Amino acid sequence: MTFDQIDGFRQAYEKRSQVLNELHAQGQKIFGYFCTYTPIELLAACKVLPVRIMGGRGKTEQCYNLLPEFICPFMKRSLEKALAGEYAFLSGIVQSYSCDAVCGCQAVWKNNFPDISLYSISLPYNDNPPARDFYVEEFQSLIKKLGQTTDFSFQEALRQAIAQYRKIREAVLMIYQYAQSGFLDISAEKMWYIVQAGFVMPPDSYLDLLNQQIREKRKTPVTTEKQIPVIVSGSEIGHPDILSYIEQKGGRIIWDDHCTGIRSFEPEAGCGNDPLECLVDRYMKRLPCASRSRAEDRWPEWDRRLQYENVQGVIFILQKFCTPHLSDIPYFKNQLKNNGIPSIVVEMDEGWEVSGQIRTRIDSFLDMI
Amino acid sequence: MDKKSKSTKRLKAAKEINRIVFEYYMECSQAKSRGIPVGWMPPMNGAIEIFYAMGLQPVFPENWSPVCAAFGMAPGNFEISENMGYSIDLCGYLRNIIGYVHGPIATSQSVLGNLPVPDLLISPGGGCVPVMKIFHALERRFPDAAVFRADLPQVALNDIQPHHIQYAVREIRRLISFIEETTGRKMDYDKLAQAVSLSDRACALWDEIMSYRKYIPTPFSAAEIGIMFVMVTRQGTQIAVDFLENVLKELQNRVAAKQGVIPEEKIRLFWDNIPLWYNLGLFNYFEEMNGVVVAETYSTAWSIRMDTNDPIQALALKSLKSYPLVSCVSMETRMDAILKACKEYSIDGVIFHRNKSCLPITLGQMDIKRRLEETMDIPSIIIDADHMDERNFFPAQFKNRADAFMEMLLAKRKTTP
Repeated sequence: MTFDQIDGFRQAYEKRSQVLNELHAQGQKIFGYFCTYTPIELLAACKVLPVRIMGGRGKTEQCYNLLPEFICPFMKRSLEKALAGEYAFLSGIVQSYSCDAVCGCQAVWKNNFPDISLYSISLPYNDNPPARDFYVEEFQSLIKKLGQTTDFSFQEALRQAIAQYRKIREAVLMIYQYAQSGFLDISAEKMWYIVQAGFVMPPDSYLDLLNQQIREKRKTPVTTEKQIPVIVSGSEIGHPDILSYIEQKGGRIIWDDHCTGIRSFEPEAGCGNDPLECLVDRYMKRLPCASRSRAEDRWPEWDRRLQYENVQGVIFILQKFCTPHLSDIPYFKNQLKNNGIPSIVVEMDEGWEVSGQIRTRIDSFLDMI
Repeated sequence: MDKKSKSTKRLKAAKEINRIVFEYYMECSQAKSRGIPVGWMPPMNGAIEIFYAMGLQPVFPENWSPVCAAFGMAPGNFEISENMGYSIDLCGYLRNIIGYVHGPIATSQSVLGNLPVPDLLISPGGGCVPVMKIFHALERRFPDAAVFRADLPQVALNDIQPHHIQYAVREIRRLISFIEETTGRKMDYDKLAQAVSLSDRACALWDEIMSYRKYIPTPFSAAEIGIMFVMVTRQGTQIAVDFLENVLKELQNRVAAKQGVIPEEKIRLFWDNIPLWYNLGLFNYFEEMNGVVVAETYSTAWSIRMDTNDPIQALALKSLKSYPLVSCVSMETRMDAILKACKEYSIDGVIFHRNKSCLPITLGQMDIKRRLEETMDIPSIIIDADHMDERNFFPAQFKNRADAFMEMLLAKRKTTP
C-alpha cells in the first residue's frame, strides 16, 4: 500500500474503510479500540491490526435507538457508523473502562454486533508495585483470551511490536516538534490528519509515510512570531475545522492535550526486564487523561509548558457531555487564572461545525489576548 | 403533578427509618466531639465494615445528596457548584456535594445537622467517573484530610478472575494499614469478622424482604425505598439487622393478612434506575390507576452475600461486585437480573428512568427494553428525568407518558387471560 506523501495522511484517513475492508477480505484480523490506553503493541504481537474506532463529523439518527441523547458525540457517532456497516471489518474490540460512556457503549456494541468479540481489560488507577503486577496479569489474561501463550516466540513478537510503535511515536513527536519550531510547514489541520492516519493504518505503512514527512525538514525555520501561542485541550477532536479556525484567526497551537493529538504519544516506550514490564511501564507513565486521573496529576505537564513556552491562552475544546474533562475544568481554569493565562471552553456536538457563536467566542478570545 | 413531592408510606418501618436516619446524622455531627475520626467514602464497598469494626465514623457524601434533594437544599448547592464552573451536564450528585462543601457545610444547619469535616478521604479509583471526580474535588476542599487512593478492578461479574480478587484483597489490606497508621487505632479482626457477619445477615434479610414483594398483592412498594438507608450507611452493625428483622416481621404479618399497598392491585410495575429523590411521590402516582411499583434495579445492589469465614476476601468481593451489579459494567448480568425479576415478581410493565445524572445505569436500557418486549412481551416506557436535578424533570411530559402507558397496560390486562 502506498500513498502520495503530499496528502498521504489525509488520503489514508479518508480511504480507511476501503483499505481496511480489503485487508479484512485478505484475512487480516482487525480489532477496534476506543481509547488510547488500549495496548496496541500487544495486539500487534498477536498478529492483530489495531484500529481506533472514531466518531468524526456527521449525523446521528440510528444511534438514538440505543443511546440517550446526553452522551458524547464520540460515542454517538461511533455507534452510528457501526450501525451503518462502516466497522464491518472488525472482528474484535479491546477496551478498558476509560469512562462511563465507553464502558456502557462497549456493552451496547456487544449486544448489537454479535460477530464482534469484546475483550475488556481492567487497568489500575494507581502506580505502585502491586498495581504493576496486576497490570501484567491483566495483559497476560488478555493474551490468553486472544489464543496466544507468553512463550519465547510471543515475547519476541511483542518486543518487535514495542520497537515498531516506539519508532512511530518518535517520528510523530519529531514531526510535531519540527512543526512547532518552523522546520516543517504543517498546519494544525494537517497534524490532525497525521495523527488520525496512525490510528487506522498498518504500522509499517504509517512509519514509511512519517519518515517521508520527516525528510521534508527545512534547513532554516519559518518565523512564527506574529502568531498567538495557545494550548488546546480536551478529549477526541472529531474534525479539524475548529483547529483551522483558531489558526486562521491568528492562533498557533503549540501543544495539544487531546487524545486525538499527541497526548497518547509520550513516552514512546517504557522500561523493564521483559516486554510485558516495558509495556506496563509505558502505559503507566503516559500523559494522563482526565478519565483516569486527578487534575492535579495532569497539571505538572501543563506547568512545564507554561514555564518554558510562551503560552498566551488556552482553548478547551470539549465534547458535549464529556464528564471526565468537564469535571476538571474548574481546577484548570483556576490554575490558569493564577498563572495569568486566559482560557475559554467551547463544547462541540457531533456536527463539529464551527458555529457562529463559537467563531465569535474564539475571535473575542484571541482579540483579547 | 408537582416537580417535588413526598411519597406516601404505609409501613410502620417508615417511622422507624426516620429515627435511624436522624440518629445516624446526629452520630456524624457529634463524632468529632467524641474523639472519633471521620472518614468520607463512596458507598457500596468494603470500607464501611472496616470503619465500624475500628470504631470510626463513616460518612457517605453520595447519600447526603438525596437528603439535600428531599429537604430542598439541592438547588442552592447546584448554584454554588455551577458558579464555580461545574457544567450543568455533570451528574447531580457531583454538583450537589461540591456545592454543599463549598457553601452550606460551613454556614447553614439542615434538619439533620451538617456533615462533619473529614479526617480521612477514601478516594476511589474505580466505580463511576463522577464519584471519582467528587472525591478529587473533596481532596482539594479538605487538604488536611489524609487521603487513601483506592484502586479496584472494573470488571464484569462473569469475568472476575483470581488476580482481580487478589488485587482487591491487597487493596483492602492496604486500606486497613492506612487507617491504622493514620488514626493510631489497631484493627481488631474479631470485630471485623463480626461486622462482616452482621453485613451478611443484613444482606440475607434484605433478600428475604425483597422476596416478599413477589406476593400478590405486594406488601410494600418502591415508595418505601427509604428503608435502603440502613444498607447504605449501617452495614456491619446490629442497627441494620434489628431494623430489617422488624421490617420482615411487619411484612410477614401484612402478607398473612393479604394486606396490599392499595385496595385493588391490578398492574405490577418495575422501576429501572435511581429514583427521583426530590419526587419519591412519583411512585404513588401509578396507584391512582391501580398500579404498584413492586421491584426496582437499585435495590439489587445490596444483595451480596458474604463469606464470613474469610472477612477480608468477603469485603474484597463485595467491593468488586457492587457497582457492576447495577451498572453497565455487567450489562448481561443486569439484563438477566431484570428479566428474572420480571418473571418472579409477575411484572406487567417496566418504567425505564432515562437518568441524565447517571449514564452508567442508563446505558443499555434500550437493549433491555427490546429484550423484554421480544422475549417476555412485557411493555415498557422511558421517563426522561434526573435523580437529583428537578430542572431535568417535566411533570406534564411524565404524566402524558405514564397515563398512556397505564391505560395500555390495563387494556392489555383485560384482553390477556
